[in-house]
Amino acid sequence: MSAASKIDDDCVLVITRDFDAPRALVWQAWIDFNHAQHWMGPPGHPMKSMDHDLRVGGHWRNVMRHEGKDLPQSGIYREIKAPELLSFTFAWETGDHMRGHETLVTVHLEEIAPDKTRMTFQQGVFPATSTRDGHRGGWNRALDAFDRFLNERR
Amino acid sequence: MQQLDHTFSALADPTRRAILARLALGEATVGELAEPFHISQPAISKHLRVLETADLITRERRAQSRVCRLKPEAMKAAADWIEENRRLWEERFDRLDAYLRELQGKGPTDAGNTE
Repeated sequence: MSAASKIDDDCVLVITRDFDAPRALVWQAWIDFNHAQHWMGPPGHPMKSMDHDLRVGGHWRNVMRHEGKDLPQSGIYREIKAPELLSFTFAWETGDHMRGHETLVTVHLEEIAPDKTRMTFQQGVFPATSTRDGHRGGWNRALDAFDRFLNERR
Repeated sequence: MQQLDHTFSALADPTRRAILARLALGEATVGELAEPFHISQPAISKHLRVLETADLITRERRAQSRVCRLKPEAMKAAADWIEENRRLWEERFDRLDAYLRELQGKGPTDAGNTE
């Protein structure tokens, strides 16, 4: 497996991974509870349930158990193109019908050899409705400046 | 968590990120901030109001001008959230890799056994 991760200037978290597995299997690992329960939750914190209405506009919700508490995360499917593209909104539920910071996740699966699949995972960290007008004053630039700012005060 | 939504909304605009990058170099007046952007002072003031509401900057009146200064706490909370989130997904994909290998009877990755 090779791996890479960065936060690009379009304010998107990008993680690229190559898996030694056929694309159809990687796709199943994302959408089938029997597979997803093996990797979504950390060891010792199994997935309790996974409800997926796998169609555009359909709701999904995963519940993990941690120290006797339910930790639900949920969202809406935005794009589904089996077995290559999956896009959905994502947020942790924080109780009292409140949701944490909402992001848009996009997963691309590309067959790079018969049993090799490249996954490109993107997560927009800013509100899905916000405009993305070019690279001027990008996220990295703001973060770099911020790092310098903190360092100077140490 | 609502604070984080405010922070990310404020940071979503490239002009506002550029203003923050400028303020990271040191405090500045509204006039100084407006200069490089070729937009009017009222337009800049609107951006500054959003940044102030999101608790990313403070504005204070001094003599004839208003001076803006960066407030790092909210920015740090946003950067921390991104980092935590990145780690969550990285760990998941490590487990996905191991699980896909197990499913296909390939055994765990051996660093000394690259093809």
